[in-house]
This record gives sequence, C-alpha cells and structure tokens, in this order.
Amino acid sequence: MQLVERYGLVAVLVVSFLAFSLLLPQTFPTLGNVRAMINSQAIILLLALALTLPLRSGDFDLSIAGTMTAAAAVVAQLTTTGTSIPLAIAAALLLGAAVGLLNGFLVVKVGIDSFIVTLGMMTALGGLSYAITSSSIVPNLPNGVLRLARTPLLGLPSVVWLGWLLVLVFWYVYERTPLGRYLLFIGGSPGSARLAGLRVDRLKIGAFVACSVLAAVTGVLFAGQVGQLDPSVAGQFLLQPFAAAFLGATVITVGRFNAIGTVIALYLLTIFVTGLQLFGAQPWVSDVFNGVALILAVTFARVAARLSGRS
Amino acid sequence: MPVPGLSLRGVRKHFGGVAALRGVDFDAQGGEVHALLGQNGSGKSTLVKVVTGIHAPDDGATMHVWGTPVSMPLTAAHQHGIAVIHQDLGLVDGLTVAENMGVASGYAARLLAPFSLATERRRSRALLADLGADIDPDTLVGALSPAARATVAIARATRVLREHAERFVFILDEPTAYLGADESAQVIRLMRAVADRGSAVVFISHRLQEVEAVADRVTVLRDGLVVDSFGGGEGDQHRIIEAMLGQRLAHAYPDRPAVAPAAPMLRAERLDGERVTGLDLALVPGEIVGFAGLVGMGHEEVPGLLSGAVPARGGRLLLDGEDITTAGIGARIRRGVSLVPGNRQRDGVWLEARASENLALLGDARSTLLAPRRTRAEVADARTAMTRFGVRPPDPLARVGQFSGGNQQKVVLAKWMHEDPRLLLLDEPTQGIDAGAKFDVLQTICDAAARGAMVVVASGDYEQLAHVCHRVLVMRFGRVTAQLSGGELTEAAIAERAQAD
Repeated sequence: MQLVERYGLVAVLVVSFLAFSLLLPQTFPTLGNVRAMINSQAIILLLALALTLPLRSGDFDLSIAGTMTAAAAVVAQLTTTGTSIPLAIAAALLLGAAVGLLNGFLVVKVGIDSFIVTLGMMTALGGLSYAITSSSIVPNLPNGVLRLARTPLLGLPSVVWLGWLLVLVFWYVYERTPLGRYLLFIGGSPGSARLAGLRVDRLKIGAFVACSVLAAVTGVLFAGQVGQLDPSVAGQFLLQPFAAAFLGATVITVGRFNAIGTVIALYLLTIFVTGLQLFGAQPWVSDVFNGVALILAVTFARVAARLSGRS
Repeated sequence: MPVPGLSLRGVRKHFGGVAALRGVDFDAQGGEVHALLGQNGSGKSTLVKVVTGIHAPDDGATMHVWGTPVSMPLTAAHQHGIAVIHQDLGLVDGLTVAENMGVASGYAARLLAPFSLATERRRSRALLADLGADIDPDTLVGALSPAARATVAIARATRVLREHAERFVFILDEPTAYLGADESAQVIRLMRAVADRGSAVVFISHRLQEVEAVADRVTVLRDGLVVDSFGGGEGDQHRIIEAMLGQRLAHAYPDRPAVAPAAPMLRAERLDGERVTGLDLALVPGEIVGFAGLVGMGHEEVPGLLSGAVPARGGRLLLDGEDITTAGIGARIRRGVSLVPGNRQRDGVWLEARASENLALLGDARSTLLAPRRTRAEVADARTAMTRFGVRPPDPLARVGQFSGGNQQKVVLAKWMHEDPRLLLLDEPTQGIDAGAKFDVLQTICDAAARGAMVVVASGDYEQLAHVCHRVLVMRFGRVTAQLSGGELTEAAIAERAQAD
C-alpha cells in the first residue's frame, strides 16, 4: 500500500510513456521528441523547484513567473544597451533578492496573506517588465547570455543540466539536512517549530528570498534560451510550476513538497500534453490539462491524507 | 422506573479485527447527569459516535430514545433530540451570540427569506435565560468566558432540538478539559441546570473530582465493556480509578523526590510578562514548583515567560548567574531549558510528522542548517527515547497523530526531556489524558527532579499540584498572592487562595 502511494506516480509516468509510444510509434518515442519535451520544461523545472521552498514553509509565491520575467527583462535591456553581462546578471539577481525580501517582509513581519502579497507582486512585476523593455520585444541578446543556457553537453543544453543538478541539491537539502526539516515543520506546525527554538521568521523570509533569487536566475537562463525577451510571457509560466509542485507532493515523500516528486510530476504532465498534441489536439488542450491536473493533484493529496488518517 | 432518555443494549463495534465495543448496555435517565468514564481507548468516543450515527454498530444492538425504538445508525441525531457538544463547542468567535445561534438553526427559514434581527435577539436571550444565563446576544462569542461559551453552545443546541423533539439528550465531551476551577464549576452548574429541566445529560471527563461533585450516576468503560456503574454517592474516585485501570492503584500520584539544600540556580527578579507582573522566584535543583490560579490570572504564562516564548517586558532572569532575560528560545534550549507546552497538538508536536522527526527537531537545533542528517541514528535515538518514556507502541516511524492522547503527550515529554533538561517548564502536563498515562507523566516529572532538574508546573488541576509540588505559588491578576508548602499545601488551600481577594 505504501509502495503504491509512494511510487504510484512513477508507474503512471512509465506506463503513459509506453502507452504513447505504442500509439504513436512514429512520432512519440523518438530522440528528437524526448529531447524537445525535456528542453521545453527546463525553465518550468527551475521555477517549480524554487516554488517548493516557500510552499514547504507554508507560504504561496505566485510571483515567481513575474520575478523571472522582470529579471530576464533587466538582463535583456542592459546587455543590449552596452552593460557588461556580469553586471547585468548581478542587477537581475539583486532584483530577485529585493522581491523576495519584500514578499517575505510583508508576509512574515506585517502578516499579510502570502497569496495576496505575491498575487499583487506578480502583477506589479509584469508591469515592471513592460517598463524596463519600453513595452517592446528586446531582440538579439548577446552570445554571452545565450551560452549560459544553450551550451550543449551530451546532446542537452546547459539549462537542462542545471535543472537536474538543482533537483539533486534540493533533494539533499530537503531530505538530508536540518534546514529541510525546519522548513517542513514551519509549514506544518509553526507553533512547535517556534518553541523548538527555530528562527521561524528568518527561515520563512529566507525561503522567499531564495525562491525569488532562483526565479531571477531562471530569468537570466530564460533570456539566454530564447535569445530575445517578450515582456508579456509571465502569464505562461504561472501555473505549471504549481501543478508540478503540488502533484509532486503526492509521490515519494507523500504529503510533502519534495524535489524528486516535482521533477517526476513535471515530466508526467509533459508526456500527456505532448502526447495529446501529437494526436492533433489543439494548443489550448495543454492549458486545460495543466489546470485540471493542478486541481486533481490537490484533490489526490487530500484524499490520500484522509485515507491514511483513518487507518 | 421512568423511561430512560437514552437506552442502549448490546452495542458491539469492530474496526477491522479490533473490538472497540464488546456489548455495552447504557441508560441515561431524564433529569440525571451521567458521567461516562474510561481511559483513552476504552471505547467512550466510539460509543458516542454510535449514538450519534457516525459509526454503525455491529448487528444486534438496539437503541431507544425516551422509550421509542430507533434504527441504527441514526441519520440525524438532532431529529431525535440528541445533541453532542464537543470540547471546542463549534462556535464562531467573530460572530455575535445571536448570529451563532441563528446560523445553526438555519434561521428557521429559507436561504433568501428575510429574518428579523430583533426576533433573533429575543429568541437568543430567552433560550439563554432558560439556562439561567444573562448574556447579551450582541456580544461577540470570542469575548465571552469559556463557561459562557459553553452556555451559548447548549442554548444553541436546544434551539435546534426544539424543532424536532420535546425532551433532549445532551452529550458533552470533556466540557471542562481546558478550564480553570471556577469556570469548571460554572459549567458543572450549567449541566445541573440542563438536567433539572428534564433532559438527560451525559458527560465525559477525566477530572474525577468534578465527576464526584456533579454526577448522579457514573458508568466506567474499560476495553469496550462496562466494568462498573453506580449511583453518585455510592462510590468515590478510588472506585472509579480502580474500575478504569482494572487494578487498585496504591497511590494515584507518585512520591515527590526530596530536595537537597543547595544554592538557587534560577532567579527571576521583578520579571514582567504580558500578564505576569513583578515575579520573584528562586529555584534550587530538584525542586518542583507549581503555579496555580484561575483562568487568565497569569499562572499559565509563567512557563512560557521563563522559556522565552513570551518575551519579558521588565525585570531580570538569571540562570546559573547568567542574565538570560533577552535570550531567545533557541539560546535557552541550548542552556538546558525545556518547555512542554500546554496545547500539545498545536505547539508540542506536529501530528502529521513521524515521531522520530518530531523528536529529532530539537537535536537538529544544535547543528548547523546544512549539516548532513543521519536518519538511521535518528530513528534509533527516537526508539530509545520512546521506550524510556513509556510510549506505546514505541514505533518511531508512526505519525504522532496515530497515537492516543496520553501517548502523544509522552512523545512530547520524550522530545523535551530526553536530553535531561536543567530547567523543565510544563503547562498543564496532564491535560486531556487518562489516569494511567497521567500517573506515568507525573512520575516522569518527578524522576527529572530527582536527577536534579528544576521543575515549574502551571496547572488548573489543584489536586495534582498539591500532590506533586514542593511548593505552589498562587497568582491573582498577574501577581503571586500566596505561597503554599509543607502541611499548608493542600488542594483546598490552593483553591481558596486562588478565589480569595
């Protein structure tokens, strides 16, 4: 029973991959398609991992996609107007840190619901992205920026490898260090975390800052991956990280946001969306699918918790 | 013999292969306050859930309400005039008394049909007056005293029941568990008043003194069977404890250890907290000091204040001569200060996490954020600690929420006492746990003192304080108004000083 609970989603991943391979032998199980699926999710994976930090400590961060876009806008605008790449990246990361601090301060010290704070922040950052780029697409980013995301290794670009490396780092931090457990207890039982002597406020703010800085890093890589920047993209990156993180919490360490589960969930969603599209489904199918998947993931988690609570 | 309000015969209930109830017969008469007692896991909650239809009993059970047979499981207990009042009462703090009472009855109207606020107020006031209470229907429920809230909950239930039945059965699940002595007394008077108006009142409690004080009849469950049932006045606490435990406990309380004369290691000088004002205290190793008082008088804040959970607003606190007045919770933990909080489910443990994870949280607090953790060692340590503190079963991988209340409290104690604290602070350490677990918990506290810990216990259970503490400080309005020790230290003396002006 526990095995089913812990690895059920892995089995679904494997089975769905095999099923689509059998149904679409010409297009689905090809190296090109697998590569395309992995590449297309590299940015989402980074955002989803970042998102698990505040989720684990009990807060939402709806602003990650906005932070990513604003950071990408900073890098795009600065590097195409002559600023050096390292300086431009530093400015983008600084923006991320400032967003995280502001989010954390408002949520933890002022006591506003994280949903409201980060929803407002998301919209504000979306607007800021337009301001930075003067409401137009910034084309032709310099090669130095492109190389950050596109340098190939074993047939996959560096942005993918960075995501996978971060999965390992997050797995280690979450499962093998006190920090991972602190965040978990702060999210699950803030009272007992505080009385155990944990610096709850600092850790919560720290989770927001780390999340936003990582989102800014993702923004830099995103700019490099695409090679230009469209300030209107934020909305496309809002939902999928949440779907992956929540669905990921129903697997591996059930009921907890975790790194391995997140990557498994993300690839599962991708397989379905890609498979359906190869069947000729319209592009809107992916939005419907991801939205429904998020709701289903949370529903599964609820039901699983209720069942295990009864036994 | 009058017809009982509630009559059960042959109630059996199995969960999987486990028998929770093994043939219970139970009668609650109108006009009677009937105490239903038993250790955690004896079947009390299951029995209540069978009565209200949450659980279906095994075949062969019968139930009569005021002599009328009803089919089990009941689909809507309130339609038969049965109401269960849970410990948390189910009131909404941010709404007024009248609103709380109206919401439960659906305003006796359709969703969009207008209702009259004036009528609501008048009805609420009348229902409360029936119970002998004078509560303004416009008061926010959050602003009421605990006893007044209990009154509102019962009045509200009465209003719902009246629409369906003429005579009522009330079941109160630990109505006084979190209350101080005077609030408890008010709730007890309330139960009496409800019974005097003809209802049958069944109440569950772990406080045997109040059972003695109010119950017309006592029924004791053990392992899913009624092991004793007797009229009030035919037995005492010892008979109840004996029935609950299945053996005669020579002493309901452990012997307090002797204190060797020594220099005080903890000193509070004119310490101010949120309610505590000007607390002076000197503790020597091995000493157990109790803090007592009525609810809200400040005694319940003392453990938090000494642990750093409640910040000091003035004065000084010295541990081993070192000023720790402004030290944070973590810094004090590293100096050997342990706080066992009063609300264990909120502050003591995380019910969703494994026992081993809860126990390791404190150990983690001593290492750096990113130091690697050794899961296997953690689990082994947890097993040792759980065995030492008598957690049953000592399974470190079980989620804490899977344990009974008494065993959860033992996990909390294991978490905070495994490293042998120097200053042990406890807030209501035996709240809501059964007599057997209570003895174990108190024994654990006495053992810690015997090993040289300084112990501070805040509790509204005066009997327990009188038996376990070396001295008890009684607080009124934030100040210590009496100190009792030696021959003066009795339950009655604490109660008297707590009430005195």
